[in-house]
Amino acid sequence: MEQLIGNNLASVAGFRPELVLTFGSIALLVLDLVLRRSRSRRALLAGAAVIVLGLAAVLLAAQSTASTPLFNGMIASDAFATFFKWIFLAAGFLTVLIVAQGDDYPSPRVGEFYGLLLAVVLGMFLMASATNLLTIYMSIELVSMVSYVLAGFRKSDRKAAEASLKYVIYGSVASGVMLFGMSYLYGLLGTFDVLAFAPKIAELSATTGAAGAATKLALVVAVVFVSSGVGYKIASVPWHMWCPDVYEGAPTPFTAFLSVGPKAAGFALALRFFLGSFAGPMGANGMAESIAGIPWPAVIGVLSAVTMTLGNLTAIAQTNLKRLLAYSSIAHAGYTLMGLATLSALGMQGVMIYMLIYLVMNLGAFLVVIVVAEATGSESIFDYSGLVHRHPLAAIAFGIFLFSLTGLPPFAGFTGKWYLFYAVIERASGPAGFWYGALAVVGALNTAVSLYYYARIIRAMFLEAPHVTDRVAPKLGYQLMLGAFSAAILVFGIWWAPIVEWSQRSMVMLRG
Amino acid sequence: MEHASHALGPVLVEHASYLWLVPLFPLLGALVNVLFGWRFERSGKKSLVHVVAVGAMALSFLTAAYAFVQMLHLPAERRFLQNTLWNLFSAGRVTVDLAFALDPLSMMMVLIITFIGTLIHLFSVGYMWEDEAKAYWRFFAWLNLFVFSMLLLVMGDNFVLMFFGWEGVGLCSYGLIAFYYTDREKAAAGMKAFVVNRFGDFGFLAGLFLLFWGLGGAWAASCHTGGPSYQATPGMHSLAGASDAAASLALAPRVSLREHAAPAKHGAPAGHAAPAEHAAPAEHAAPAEHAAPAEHAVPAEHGAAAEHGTAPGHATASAKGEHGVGAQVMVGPTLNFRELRDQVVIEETGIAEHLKDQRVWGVALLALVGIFLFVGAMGKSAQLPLYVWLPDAMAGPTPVSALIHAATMVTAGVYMVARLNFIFALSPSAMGWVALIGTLTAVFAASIGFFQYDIKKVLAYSTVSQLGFMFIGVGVGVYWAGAYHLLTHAFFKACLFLGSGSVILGCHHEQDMRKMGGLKKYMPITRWTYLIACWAIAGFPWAAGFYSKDEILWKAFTSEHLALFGTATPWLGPAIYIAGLLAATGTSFYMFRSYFMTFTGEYRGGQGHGHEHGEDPHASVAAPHHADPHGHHDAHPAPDPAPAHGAHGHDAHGQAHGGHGGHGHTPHESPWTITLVLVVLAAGAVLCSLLGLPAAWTGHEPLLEQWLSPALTAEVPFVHKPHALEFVFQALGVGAGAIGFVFAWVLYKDNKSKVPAALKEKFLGVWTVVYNKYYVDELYDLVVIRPSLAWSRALSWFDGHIIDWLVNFAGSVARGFAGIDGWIDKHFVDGAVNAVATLTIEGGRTLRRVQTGRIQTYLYGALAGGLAVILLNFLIP
Repeated sequence: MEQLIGNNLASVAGFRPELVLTFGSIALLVLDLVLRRSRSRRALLAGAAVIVLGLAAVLLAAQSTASTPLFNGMIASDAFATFFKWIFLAAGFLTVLIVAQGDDYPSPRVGEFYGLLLAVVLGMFLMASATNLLTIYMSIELVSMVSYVLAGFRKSDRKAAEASLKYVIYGSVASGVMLFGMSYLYGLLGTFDVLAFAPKIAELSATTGAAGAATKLALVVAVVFVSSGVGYKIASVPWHMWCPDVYEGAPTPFTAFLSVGPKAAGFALALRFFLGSFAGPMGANGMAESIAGIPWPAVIGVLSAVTMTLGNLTAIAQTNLKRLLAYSSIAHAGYTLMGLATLSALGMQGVMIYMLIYLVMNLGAFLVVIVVAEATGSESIFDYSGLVHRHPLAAIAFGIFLFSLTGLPPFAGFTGKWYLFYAVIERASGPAGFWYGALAVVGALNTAVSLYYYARIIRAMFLEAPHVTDRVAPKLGYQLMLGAFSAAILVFGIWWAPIVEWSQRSMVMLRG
Repeated sequence: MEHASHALGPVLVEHASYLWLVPLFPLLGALVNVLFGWRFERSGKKSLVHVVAVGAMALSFLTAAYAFVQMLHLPAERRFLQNTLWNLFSAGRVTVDLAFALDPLSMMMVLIITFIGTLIHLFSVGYMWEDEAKAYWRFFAWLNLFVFSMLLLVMGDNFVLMFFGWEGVGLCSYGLIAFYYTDREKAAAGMKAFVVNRFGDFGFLAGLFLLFWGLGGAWAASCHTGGPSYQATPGMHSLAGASDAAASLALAPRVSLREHAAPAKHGAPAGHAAPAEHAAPAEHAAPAEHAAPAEHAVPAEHGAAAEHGTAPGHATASAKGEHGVGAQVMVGPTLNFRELRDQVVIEETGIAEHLKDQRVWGVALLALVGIFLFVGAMGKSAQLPLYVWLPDAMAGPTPVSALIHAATMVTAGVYMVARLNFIFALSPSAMGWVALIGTLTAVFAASIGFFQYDIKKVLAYSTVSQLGFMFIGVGVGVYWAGAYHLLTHAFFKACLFLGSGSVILGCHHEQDMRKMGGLKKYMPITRWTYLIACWAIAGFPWAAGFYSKDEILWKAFTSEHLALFGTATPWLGPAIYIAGLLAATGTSFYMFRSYFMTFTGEYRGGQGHGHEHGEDPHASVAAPHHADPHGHHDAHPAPDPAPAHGAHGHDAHGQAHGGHGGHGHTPHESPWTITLVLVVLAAGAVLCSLLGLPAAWTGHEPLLEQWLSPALTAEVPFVHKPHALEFVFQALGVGAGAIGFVFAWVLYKDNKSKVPAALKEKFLGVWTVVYNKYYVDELYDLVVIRPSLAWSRALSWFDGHIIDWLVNFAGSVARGFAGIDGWIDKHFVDGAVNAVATLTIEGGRTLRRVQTGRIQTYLYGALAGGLAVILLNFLIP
């Protein structure tokens, strides 16, 4: 008992960024009340949120990246989690910057928003480091619950309210299913500790005959059910359907956040869960095999193919930019799943790199949507015609983001896709290589399809005559952000060594 | 090429951290003009535009010259400057750096590009100053960008950079061909160049991939015999069967082969693995250990090295002793020129032998590689049948024609073949094709040149023909002579083009030689330089063209290495020689024809000589013609934009004759920026001859051959013939040129002879066919363009009818499902949801919408999907 407590106390040292976020979240809610009358309340609150995030960043940077279990193995602190935590901090920070300038969140309640946003960031931190079924569930729920609130933040907005409600129902079912799956897992393996799964599963798979078949069925059902919780976070088929409605209905800055933050957190969780407990150790060539004869890499490969195809095909027909980007984000979840399906070091690195780059390009794309919506009040593609004449910077930046999302060089999206595809192709010469080859082909075809609808926007912006003359005059801060995002995309499109090295260093994951 | 290649070791790299500056300056120049050029122009500081552009070029040239000096001070075998900036990407074993390299060959190219480039920029100042396109800055930005891309192509340390440059020069070329884009025809010419070059690029890429794939086979095959655990990259497995040849040499992928105290015997399995597989060689300044992405994630100690080490038959290839201990050779697929060269050139690796053995679809791999790469060269260097874009490219401004379509870009194909000499030399068939196509192009294009009237078209076909000569050179294996012809051609053809530009400017944008004539008295400098360049291209001694062309033809005659379709063709060499001689005769004829038509006889251009201008104080270089006894006093004030004179002079100039169309039609000599450049180029066309004085004259290898020998390592056998015979052949070459000259003299001197017209009448049929360029364009139209248009129309019909129908159908289906869904909703779900609705007070109104919404479907979908996924787990074996 004393040892347990001792460990918990010692663990606090590795939990400081999370603590800052926790208390920061509460502090912001208090500050919201304190500053109720303040004239510069908006700026002060945003500043406070930035300070909390900054403090968390400083502590995160100071923290060791050595792999250590914290709180008696409930969560892990390792380089892998740290990599994703930086992504979350960046997502949170950029969202604060966007919200602070916009009018999506009205002044009287913007403090609540920041407080809750910090709570989501905390939830994502936990998602990336959870190594126990309980912490996994808790962290997913923390992110979900707060997200429901933030999506339906404007109570008077019917669309937002509807989105939020759908999100609630869908999310509750998904987490219910996940809990159900977890109960199965516990029943089968007798532990919540994800890191202890592998040997137990190996034991289980020794059972033969009818008992063996039943065990395998139970195991598969459990894994699939658990992954419904994850799949819903990353918006992968068949748990994607909430995504377009919620993306469309939620206030755009939060949609932007939702499309990059929780998605990355979901992938972090999935990588840890699948690679950590359902795969053998990686061989010298950087490849692992799934254990207990569960063909989950193949299943994920199929899901990946279906997800990207469905996302892309549906996106073609969209005219609302937020919906279009929602389907596009489903498609990108599909691409990223390719990295998970390879079950290799390169695939893991591909996912990490992709999520990092996706953060910039997708936030950038949504930022343009915000900018245009603020000027025209519309999210329809028709109001993007001739954007280059109305605001060249916005149009050019959007062009860069869209090309990057397509994965064309020399934009950063190419870098990301390169690593994902390379991981798949590396597998294509091994066992079941044909299927990996097929996955790569499907991926490539999908990239081509996606070019179609991305290029439609680009055509509207650059080639069509503007039929709305509303002036688009984004705020200076937005312009700076657009410029910075575009620059980042261009720089990482030709000089990606730092990202690759960083991700390379961050591939150390705590294992059982 | 009598260098004994068995003594070759790995390239010894000399670091030169400033190399990146060479391409940087033109890039900066382009950037500045793109960003601020129009502002300069609008605010009356137009001359800033060319100060920036020419300055950037000059700096680039100076840096290149510095590199040249540094290289001169190095011993021959160390002449390889390299500069790695950063890692662009690395995937698995393939690493691509942003790195520049200069070996003697690329050094020569860089000097040509920057030196002639600077001159042509200077020329453009005078030429484009009053251009009607009103886009001075756009012109210089493109031109600078072009030079940047060209330098990237030449200096890039790997295929990726080369390809960037390759595409970049193409892009700039299109942009400049279509510089007057408001003219539909000229824009179309740009388009044509674009399309034809896409075809060539396809070949280039295909060749590259094949080579890459073939190299992969070399080690993957051996890995299968050696280490079973190794996962090769895709495509490698299909090469089973090829393993035996390499089995004894079993090479680990990308292993650094080190020299050991006791050198392992060639091919013997010494079992002594290089200890550190991932120890990137020192010159690889890439910051990360690229080769092992797994490294950190894998708890088991990163075992690749260990595994390969224990693999049986894992031999160490040792480099030759004189290259010292620690020489390393990377083996396996690579995009880096040096690594490619090392593993192919150094015999101990066995890669060359292995490549020779490989076959694809029954065809030798190397022949395919060579031919595909050559297709790329055909596009860029305008060889049959992909030459059609080059004559049309003359739509661009004349300096562009001189720089891009004569001196630099179009020689990229030749450069590529010369750079990959060690690959081409391995395949006599590939060489045979290169030489054959080069020969055909040389003759074919020369014949078209006979009857053209547009002075630039003559030069364009002449360029195509001369490029053919260069390909004969690199095709038969006398790589240095091909490169030498490239060098001499760069001078004399740039001089000719710029001379024609000067003529065109002098004749007020007239390009038809029938409307010229007698220009020698108006434009003496242009005339003399043009004549010298004609002398050079026609192949008369003491001007450079003679030496390069002669060496090429002589070596073609003595070559014994060529083959076609895998069978040796000893007749090909002499045949090429005879055809080349014919082409040389033709060249001499049409070049002197253009000279006589342009510069001799009476001026046939527009009438009206009046329109006196004030004396131009700046036109001192062109002064002699003021003393013209005919009194055709032409004082078209030189648009002298030299920065020192500033804007004032130009304003005065503009007012003096109120625009270009206003002044008289007397031809006039060009301003000094133009004539100076002409003089320098003409001098170069003569002086370059010093670099290539044949061994038969001097007793030692030509200077350029000595200089290039470290880069051109391929050993191609030639029949040894006595020097006396070489003299005879040189005499024949001069005779050929003389015949062409005499014919041109008789027929076109002073444009008095009636014979050409009579001959034309007599052979009108032949004349028409040749004049119309053998109707090749029409043929393309018939065979390629119309079918494509028809195809695109068919596709568009398909799109309009079938696809739309499908989309509508899909829509109906979706509607149908929505109906069913709504029905289910209404009858089964509403009750449940209504119950929730009553519980939710705040969201009540919303919930009503949800009732008819689709959240239920979503959940069913998720459930069904989940079940499907579970099922999938059991379906997949």
